[in-house]
Amino acid sequence: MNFYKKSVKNILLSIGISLLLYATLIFVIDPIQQYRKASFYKPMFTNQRYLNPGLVKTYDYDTVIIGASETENFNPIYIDKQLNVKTLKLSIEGSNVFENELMLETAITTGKVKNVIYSIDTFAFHQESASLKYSKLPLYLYDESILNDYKYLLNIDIFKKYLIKIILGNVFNKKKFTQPIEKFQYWGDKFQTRKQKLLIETDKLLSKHEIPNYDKEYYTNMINLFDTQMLTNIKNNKDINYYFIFPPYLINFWIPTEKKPCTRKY
Amino acid sequence: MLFNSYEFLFLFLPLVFTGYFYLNSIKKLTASKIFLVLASLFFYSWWNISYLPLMLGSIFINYVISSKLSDKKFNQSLKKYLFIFGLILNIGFLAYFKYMDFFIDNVNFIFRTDIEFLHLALPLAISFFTLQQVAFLVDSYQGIVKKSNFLDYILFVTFFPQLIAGPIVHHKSIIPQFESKRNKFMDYKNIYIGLFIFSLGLFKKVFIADTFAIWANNGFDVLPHLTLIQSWMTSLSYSLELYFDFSGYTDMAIGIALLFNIKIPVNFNSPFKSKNIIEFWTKWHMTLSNFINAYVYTPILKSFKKFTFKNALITSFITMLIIGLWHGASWMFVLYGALHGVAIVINHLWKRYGFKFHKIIAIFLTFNFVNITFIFFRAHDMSDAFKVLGGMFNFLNIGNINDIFLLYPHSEKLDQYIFVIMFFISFVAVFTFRNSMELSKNLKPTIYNISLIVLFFVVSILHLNRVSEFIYFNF
Repeated sequence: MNFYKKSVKNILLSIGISLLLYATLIFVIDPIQQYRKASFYKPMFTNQRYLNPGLVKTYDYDTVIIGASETENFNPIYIDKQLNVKTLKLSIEGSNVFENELMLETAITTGKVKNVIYSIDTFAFHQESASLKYSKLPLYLYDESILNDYKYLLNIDIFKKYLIKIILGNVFNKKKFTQPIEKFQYWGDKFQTRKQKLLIETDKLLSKHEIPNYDKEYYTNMINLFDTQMLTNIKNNKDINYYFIFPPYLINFWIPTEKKPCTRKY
Repeated sequence: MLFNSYEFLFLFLPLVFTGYFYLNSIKKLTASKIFLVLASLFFYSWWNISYLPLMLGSIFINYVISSKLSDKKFNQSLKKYLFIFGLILNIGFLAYFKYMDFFIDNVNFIFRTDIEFLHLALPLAISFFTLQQVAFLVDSYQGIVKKSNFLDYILFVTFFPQLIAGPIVHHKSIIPQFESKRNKFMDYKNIYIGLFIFSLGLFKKVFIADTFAIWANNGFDVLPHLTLIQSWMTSLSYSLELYFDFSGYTDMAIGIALLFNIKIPVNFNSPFKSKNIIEFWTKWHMTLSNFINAYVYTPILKSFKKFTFKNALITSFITMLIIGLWHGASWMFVLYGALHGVAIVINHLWKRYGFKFHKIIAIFLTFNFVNITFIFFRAHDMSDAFKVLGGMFNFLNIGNINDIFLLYPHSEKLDQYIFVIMFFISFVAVFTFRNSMELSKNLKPTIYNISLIVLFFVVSILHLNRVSEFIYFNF
């Protein structure tokens, strides 16, 4: 019987030690820079939903870019020069208005934000997806509480999505894993000389997804979400400058959208 | 509260375990039972406390009726009516919450009426605690049940490891275990074996089933068309998901109960190794099969004037329809039950006329039949089902092997490799490996076994962020 007692103790102790070691490894390397800006290694910039909340906490900036993939090709260095600011791009691919607002709130909470460049993407107001319920945001990264940090420190995804690539990039010198922050989700240079390929790719995409009807219902819902979600935040932060922009959509998406009578009407 | 959640693993379970055995150690035996009941009610209410009065009401009414039925001094002529009242109450309770909208939908369709749906939320675990209480009611009526106090009864129904999705426990095997004085003190052998079974179940659910779920969900719900290869991957992923999900849940329930020195029945016994469909139902969701056999199949068969082979076949078919419908209020589940009913009838016939297949062919046919019927079990409607089923036999669109990764979009290369390796290992495992119950027999505390338990726990805990509910919570 003593042998079983000893075994049970060994099991519990081994589980505890293993988890502690893993959590310590993640805390020290801090692959998504939640606690400190990466200093002793070149970080891996990928997956905005995981990485952005860390960047807003540990990087220096006074201007943020909020929006979905249509803002991914915005060049922060260019904006810095033109407006004499320090910009952090917080694009979230395929984001909805709730995700954008949470991202912005997380940034504002740090007290660093003076300017917000906000992209009004019509897709972000799509009724079915416009809620945090359907979002894949790791919400535990978007608050200041340390009580839920175990979800970060004991998370295998951090190991798979970041740590392995950081090791490959830093130890085995795989350059694609150690791109600078300016290249983070930047794909504008990828297709510049391959316009035709870009059109083919987006045509493929459009064949899978229907172009939404920008009708009265869509318009009313959009106004409603703007009033309830975005306007409240704006009113609460009167010392922050907001610049709203209408994003430059792909031409082969925009032409069929514009042709729809409801788009012209609303 | 989910077994595969941080709050359960790091707070609820350690606190309840410590509290229960502490109260027993200071001889507060009744207090320890009350503590376990309160903990179980808290566990149940974690999802939605609004269902708690419903469950407590059901438990209280059933206990009062059963007490009267097992009371020898109670008026014998009234007993029959009270028993029928009790049955109608339980079945009506289940029917109202689970099947009312399904009934309205069919009435509307047949009579072209426009009756509004009730949109009732299905109270968690209703299908499971109702069955356990029906068994208690029937046995009370038949005089099999010894008079038990309310505390033992409520503990039997609400004991948290089995409360939400079974295994469906029988009062005869559970209540005496709570009474046994030997079970009141920590037994390190049981804790060791319990930890082993629990860790294996956690690993099956969190690491294996949840990965298969991604592939199956994309195949069934997201991709509009599937190639032949994608269709097979979708259906096989779902069959493996369902098995590892539910048997994983059951392992966890058995393992947790064993920590408290309570042995709850086995629910799966390598069902995919079955050589025919009758054998399959003796190895898949065994506690449901046992309940149905005792409380549905036997009474229906007895209701025939003569016991004949033909009557037995009719009873088998009706029973399978009921099993199908028990899983949910949808014609897809009825169809699933009907297909299994037909298969069981055919199986009985070929047994009677002496047909035999080679063992490997028999396993191959049985597994493929089960795999195909699971498509109807999983699909929301016939078009979903035929998308997958049609794709599996569309030899004009075989597709490319790399297309399987479209079932796991935006995934890391590492995840794709893990899936392919896991798919083959799991596939081989369900046909050849010993199952968790076989492994736990004569389990010695060796370095190898201890390392395995630690590995299962650590890997599973690191995967907890993909939290998902168990499939059988919906039934």
